[in-house]
Amino acid sequence: MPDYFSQTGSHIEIAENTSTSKNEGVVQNYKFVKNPVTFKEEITNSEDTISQEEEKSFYKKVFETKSF
Amino acid sequence: MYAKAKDLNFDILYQGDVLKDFPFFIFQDSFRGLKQAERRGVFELKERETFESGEAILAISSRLNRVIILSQTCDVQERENIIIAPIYSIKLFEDSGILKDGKAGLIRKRMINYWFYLPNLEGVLEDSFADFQTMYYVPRKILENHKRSKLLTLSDWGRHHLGWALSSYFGRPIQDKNA
Repeated sequence: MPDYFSQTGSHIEIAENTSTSKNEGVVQNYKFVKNPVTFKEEITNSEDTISQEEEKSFYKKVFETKSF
Repeated sequence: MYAKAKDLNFDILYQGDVLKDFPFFIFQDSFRGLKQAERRGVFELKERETFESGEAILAISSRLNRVIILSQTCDVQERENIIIAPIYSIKLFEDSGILKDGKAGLIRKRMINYWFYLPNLEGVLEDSFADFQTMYYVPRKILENHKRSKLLTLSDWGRHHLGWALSSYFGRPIQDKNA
């Protein structure tokens, strides 16, 4: 299963004070814990990325090739 | 990843369908216009100077290329415009030394989120990838004229995979390596 199929719960709004049998029928205020979504590059090893130079070469080839 | 050849439906276009010989636009570093008077001769378009009434005729190169349909299947059938992206053979870039030192392996492992890997399908498609970075729209009517150029259709799993790849490309969801 690819990594991006998985999820983490860290950014999900967590509801607290949810209804229980004790307070059933009572409207409760929900306290949402909103951890900010963090964005990070999972790949930190430069060998595992396409460098800017390689990407530049790629598009040069793509744009200059008349026929594929 | 792919639907069986016998299941290919040339009457309907689906998300993930691959078409061959589609005129794909190649944008240059600057826009070029056509001279208004004789409608021939290309010149570089500077800012707004030639956009009379807010409109100008542009000269854009195109190349017959394999393309993949990225729009969701419902949109392909209902909406007026469809998003497509070009497909390139991995070997071409390995042979030309652009993807060296095993970098092509990163595509195959789906570690490059803007290049969607399309595995080899014997006699139909060599090891390739779709380039999300150069996707753009075309009117649905144009695409419908190319239905017969359909090369392959993704399986349900393949289409699901494409959907996740697109959400990953646009959304950068957090990846939990422990999950």
